[in-house]
Amino acid sequence: MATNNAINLNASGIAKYDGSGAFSAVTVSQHQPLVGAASNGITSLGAMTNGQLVIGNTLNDPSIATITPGTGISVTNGAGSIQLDVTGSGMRWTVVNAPTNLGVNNGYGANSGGATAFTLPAASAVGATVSIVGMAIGWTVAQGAGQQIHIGSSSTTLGAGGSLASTNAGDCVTLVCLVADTIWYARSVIGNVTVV
Amino acid sequence: MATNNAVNLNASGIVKYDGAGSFTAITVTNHQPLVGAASNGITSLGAMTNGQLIIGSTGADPSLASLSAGTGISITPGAGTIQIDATGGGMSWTVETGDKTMAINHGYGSNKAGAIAFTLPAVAAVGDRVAIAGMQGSWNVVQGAGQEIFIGSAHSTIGAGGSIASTNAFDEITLVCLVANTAFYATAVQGNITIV
Repeated sequence: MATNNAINLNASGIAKYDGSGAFSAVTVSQHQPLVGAASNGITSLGAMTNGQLVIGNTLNDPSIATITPGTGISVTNGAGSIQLDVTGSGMRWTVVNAPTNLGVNNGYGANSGGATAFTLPAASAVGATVSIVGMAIGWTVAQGAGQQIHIGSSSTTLGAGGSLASTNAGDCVTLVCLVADTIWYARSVIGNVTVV
Repeated sequence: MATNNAVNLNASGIVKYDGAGSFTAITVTNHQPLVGAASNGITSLGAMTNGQLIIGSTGADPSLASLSAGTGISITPGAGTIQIDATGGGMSWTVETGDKTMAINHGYGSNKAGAIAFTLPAVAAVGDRVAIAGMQGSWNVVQGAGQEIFIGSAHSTIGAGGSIASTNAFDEITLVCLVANTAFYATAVQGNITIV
């Protein structure tokens, strides 16, 4: 049964009834996506710019945001379009000139005045990959407790006493983790790498 | 002050008041997302197909569109799902039967009874990669002004006079750019590469 026929609105908007006698005009904004609001209301989420999406936000209004490119990914936003590309074959590459803890799925150009000292990641999942390319003097890879590197028929000493080292400036190694956090295998090697 | 008590609608829809005495019924379409329209209106964006998203378009209604798969990416849309996969080791690959200027983050099968000349990209960022895999015949890599290729302890002559070449049909090389536009370092080599 009708409880109220007097709308009594004096502003533009979407008519909303509160269930107890009062109507109100809900304002919305052009081009902006809408979601429900408290007490059967409607609210505009905000203006969207090129490439933005409506992304869920638990127990809150969805957010308007762009996709965040992670390691080895680039995102190109356009008007109503988003293109995803892999960069660096899925790895992020940087040139370093100081001792560096290797990041998983990162590649490094070793460009120190002396041998660039790298340390294996302490935490890595199966399939995580690291790569080092010598650009200047050379490079070394130090291990932590329980870690080991296998290259063909050779293996480093298990733990902190084991290591790899380049012998020439342009030597390169790419390693993949096949036992989480600890054991790494060479996928490709350029040069004669010293295994300790 | 109230300006209107007579709704006078004769069609189904969301009730909108114009602030000046008139109510209208806004029609919306089943399943279609809504955005605000001019003068506190509401409009349906259109029918969405599997995997489409609502993507921002600055100053206009958002668009309904699918993600675009760029280099090394495949996208599989489903009903309410989107699966994104890396392909080709993060590179896009093509088979070539003639000379080619290489594109960044692209791999090439070299498939000609004679030799194919691949030219380094003129523009490349740190981390960009190229790869060539021999399928028959041979391949060589041509450099532009200021460009150089490093393979282990060897490197090509800097500039247009330098090059590298395969010696057997199935030789392979992967290069990463570590000095923007100019210096490319081998991260994987198969075969005995001739360096000039």
